[in-house]
Amino acid sequence: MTDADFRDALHGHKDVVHRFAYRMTGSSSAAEDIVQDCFLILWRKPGAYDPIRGAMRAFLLGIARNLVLKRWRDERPHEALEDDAFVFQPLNVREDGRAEAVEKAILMLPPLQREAVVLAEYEEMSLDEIAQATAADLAAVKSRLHRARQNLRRMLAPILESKGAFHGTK
Amino acid sequence: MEPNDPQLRELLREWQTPAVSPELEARMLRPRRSWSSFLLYGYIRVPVPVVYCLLALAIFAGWRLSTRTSPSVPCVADCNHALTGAC
Repeated sequence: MTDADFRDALHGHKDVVHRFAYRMTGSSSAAEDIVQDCFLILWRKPGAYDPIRGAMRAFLLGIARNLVLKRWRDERPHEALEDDAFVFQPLNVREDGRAEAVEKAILMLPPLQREAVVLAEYEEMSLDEIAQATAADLAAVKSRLHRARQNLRRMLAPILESKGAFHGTK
Repeated sequence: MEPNDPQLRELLREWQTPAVSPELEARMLRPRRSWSSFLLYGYIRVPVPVVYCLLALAIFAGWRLSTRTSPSVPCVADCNHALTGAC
């Protein structure tokens, strides 16, 4: 990989990787560390990226995802990446704190559900692309997305219901 | 999101992320330093336990040097042959 190729990759994909890392960690400094590590890996092992196997974006998001999960395991060695049994309660939200409530709800999701919903909703990736980036099969991705949506609807119910009632009265 | 769930999608979009700091890109595109330049201007991060070990080694080395026995000086005062130089 030449300097120009690296520069192009950085310009083209740093924002995507940063958005993903920020939404997965909830921290600007952690997200920047992950972006840096992600592109460092690309620079050191450019052969790991095979254009035939998929887009650069999915490749970089896959690296970022592994870095995020490594951090998660280091920080919370006893917590499961996927907790199906946990039932989320509706959040107590103020009317002016909708974005904060969304952030809180997404950060409360187990990491594998969170990555699925972040990639699907915010990065608008298809199920196939998510499966490729997360090294999971399609059925697992569908299942995680389904559970993530259910949990988000439950946690954000106070906002969604008030919004629905508001729209209903119009 | 599911096509029949635009309400949740709309709500999720309200969470925006901060932009990448310009320093990050500048830091990553900084020209790589040559070895000669590194020898003059470079720095390395040293773990604190290693610093402790180095300090302990330095203290030990200092103590060994200070307690090293100096070569004994012959006492000429009591020597009967001091004047003859046979001592």
